[in-house]
Amino acid sequence: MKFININMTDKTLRIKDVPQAYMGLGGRGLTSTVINAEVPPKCDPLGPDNKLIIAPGALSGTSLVNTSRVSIGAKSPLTGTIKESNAGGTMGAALGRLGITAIIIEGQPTDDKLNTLVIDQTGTPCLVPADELKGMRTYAAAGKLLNEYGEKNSILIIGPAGEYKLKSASIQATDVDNRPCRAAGRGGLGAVMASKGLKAVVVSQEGKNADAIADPEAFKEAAREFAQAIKAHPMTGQMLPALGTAGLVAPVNSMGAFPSLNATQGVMKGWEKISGEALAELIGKRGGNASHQGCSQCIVRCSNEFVDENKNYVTSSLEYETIWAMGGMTGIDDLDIIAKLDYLCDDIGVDTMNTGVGIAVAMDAGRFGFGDGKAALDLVEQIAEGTELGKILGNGPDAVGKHFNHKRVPTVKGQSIAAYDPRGMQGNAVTYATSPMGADHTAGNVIGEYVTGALDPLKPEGQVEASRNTQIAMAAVDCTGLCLLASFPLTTPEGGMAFLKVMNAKFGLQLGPDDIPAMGIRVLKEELAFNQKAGITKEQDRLPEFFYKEPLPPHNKVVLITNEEMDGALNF
Amino acid sequence: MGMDVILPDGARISDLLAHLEIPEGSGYLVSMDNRVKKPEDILKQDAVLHILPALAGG
Repeated sequence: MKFININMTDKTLRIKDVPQAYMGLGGRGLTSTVINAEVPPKCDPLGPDNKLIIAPGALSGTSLVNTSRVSIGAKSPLTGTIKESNAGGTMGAALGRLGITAIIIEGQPTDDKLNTLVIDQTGTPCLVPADELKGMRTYAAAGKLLNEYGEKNSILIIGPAGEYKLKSASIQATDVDNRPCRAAGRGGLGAVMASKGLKAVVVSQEGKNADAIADPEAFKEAAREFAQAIKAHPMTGQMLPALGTAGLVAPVNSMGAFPSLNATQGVMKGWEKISGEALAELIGKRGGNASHQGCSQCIVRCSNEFVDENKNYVTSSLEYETIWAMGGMTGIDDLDIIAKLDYLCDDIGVDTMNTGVGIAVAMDAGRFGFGDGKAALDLVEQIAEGTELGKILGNGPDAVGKHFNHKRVPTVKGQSIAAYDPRGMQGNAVTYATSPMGADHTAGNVIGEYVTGALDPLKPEGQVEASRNTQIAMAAVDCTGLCLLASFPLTTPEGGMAFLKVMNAKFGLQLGPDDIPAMGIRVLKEELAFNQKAGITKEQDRLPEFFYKEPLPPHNKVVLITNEEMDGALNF
Repeated sequence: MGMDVILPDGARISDLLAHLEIPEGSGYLVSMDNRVKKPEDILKQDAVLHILPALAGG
């Protein structure tokens, strides 16, 4: 249990015990608590007073499966709010095995030189000049670092978008095959990393100093039970391995809630061409891998490796949200083009969702025609080239809408919505509007209530409560390092009990079922408190006007949740 | 894509799943006219149905 504090103003590094106030916290719980306590709420997100915090989950580095998420937090240059974005790959587990609870990066260099933070297998950090990586894209730069430091390292890295300090810049994380194709994509955290003069973080995967487990035998048994629950659940045991998250294209279109052509349609014409089924078939036919392991200790294998007709690697992993943003929103129904766009975004270091939605806004404004894949590829390349239009796109949909004087911009607090139209899934309207993170499906996606038939997605009744409960649950899961996509068994009696036993065995606690949501509420309170001090008001917890005025075909509904109901969603 | 299925008048979603030998609780959902349906809901004449993996998340 240790913090690594790095001051980029004077390049000092300190290793210290975890302060008492932060003991027991991990992942999003840690990043948000530290930010609320230590970051001046009204600070410039790209200035010296902001802090970039990298924290593995509380269970990362243990033997529990699917716990290699790493949370990255800061005040966001995109939303102006507190931000946590987490990524899979190998970094969460690598930090956990070194017993590192968090890396806290603060200050700002007075020069414009870049650095790499290297942490070796003993957990010793050092800063290394990285000017030779300046301007490099993530795949090439990560490859260079792995050549230099060895393949048994995990990497976080920014691309040109980060170096330009664009508001959609991501921090890319390497997967088990050492490709920087996993992303802490949301909120412009890549720009914050660049503002600290940091190009990359290299961490040894060979650490053997994980935090002690209070009851190792009980932990081992409970971890085995939880792994069994993952295998037994239809979602994590069968559907995600077969189709990946892309399997959502069919059900969401079939529910009329797939925002298409810049959220003017709820069903994409020709969605079958970009469905999970079509993706798995194409990958299989070409000899790629439709059930790939992307993250350390993953037994779900929802990742994929997309290859071209010559079996050459194109990208990994082509996910539902990217297929939607680059396909549904833009009207591009060609998986090869969508895969190239995904690769480009990872390589340039920019959020696929904000970028796809930004392209869709430009198309809707008449700058390009919907479905113009060539224009989309060119536009994303322009982000790396640093052209005026490229920088506008890299700053997100709001910047694009402002540039083209176009009003239909599906964002909340500057961040694009996700692949669930709030008019077709009213609970997600509540999540987009009220999440402390801006529009963010991972903060509380209510779709599970709809696919099981538990809640009518088109009626306002029950939506606020469903969103609140999901936001609380997700905030808790995000503290642990457990992948959201492996969390479905938590809703079964066996899985929920096994996970509680895991937590109790790890920390020597006697947590009951109510303590998990209590953890989520604690995190949300920290985040809401920061936002309030930062000047975020309830009036900003609203969706853009068109969601209330323009009915979405085929159900022809608008958002039906009142402002008063929105205001009560997270009124703890 | 797709197939025609003929069932008696008044047949329910559960009858359709049984006809297709999809066991209950296997994690599939049925949508009819862009609405998720429950097993007890009655099928409509000439309806376009989707039988889908009940995926969530993403």
